[in-house]
Amino acid sequence: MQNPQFSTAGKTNGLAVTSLVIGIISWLLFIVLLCLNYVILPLLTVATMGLGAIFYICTLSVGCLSPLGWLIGTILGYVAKNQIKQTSDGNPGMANAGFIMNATGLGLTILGICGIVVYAIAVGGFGFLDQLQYPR
Amino acid sequence: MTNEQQPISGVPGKFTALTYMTLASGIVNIISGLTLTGLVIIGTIGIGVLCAPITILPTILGVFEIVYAVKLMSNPPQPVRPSQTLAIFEICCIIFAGVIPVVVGILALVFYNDPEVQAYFNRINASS
Repeated sequence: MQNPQFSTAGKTNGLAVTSLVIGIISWLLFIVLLCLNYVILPLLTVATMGLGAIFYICTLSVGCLSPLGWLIGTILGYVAKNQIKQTSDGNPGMANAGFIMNATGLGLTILGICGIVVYAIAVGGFGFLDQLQYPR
Repeated sequence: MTNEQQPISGVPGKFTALTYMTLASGIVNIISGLTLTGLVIIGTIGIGVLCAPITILPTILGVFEIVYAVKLMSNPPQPVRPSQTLAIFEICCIIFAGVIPVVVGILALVFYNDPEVQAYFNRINASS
């Protein structure tokens, strides 16, 4: 006899779970890196008289993973939502949560990139790059 | 004949959990929003007041959450619809590094689609 509590009626969609997990991990990574860059690394740099600045390179490369995760999570969440709508199999709440979580991060990334571009246009191009090539 | 509403028995556990989680999330949001605004203003010696319209947003959401939680907790139950908008805004609180509202938002979206909770919502809305 099947236990009604463990029936397959409440089946979860794999893509929805993946989207949600990717969203949580990406956000955690983003927050940890934010704390690292603005709190721990400046202190480390001061304490090691500049040597700690090398770690900024490491955090920069890891920092690219969050937007990538948000992009993948948004796509997966969207696909999961459509799948659940078509088959009515699985909880749409989880797909919605995954989609919103990843889309928020992706929106923030796009907003940040737009902000940098607007700033560059406002100050007249990427002047700091010229200064790197031709120091005055 | 009295017009009084009869209390509806058999409140699902998930509904009760949702109620208390929303209340807790509301309180956390109000405290964190006020703390964040206060710290930004004090830390920038007043200039940070320009950021207040953004940093105060969790507090506003917290007030709405508490109002919603009170509606869910009322006895006899008031007719109330599942609020997906509130759950979505709770998830968006991740921007302010709010972990508790995010967890509550995700669980709320999952619980709203639970057959038992949906049936309870239908029951309390039908009884009005």
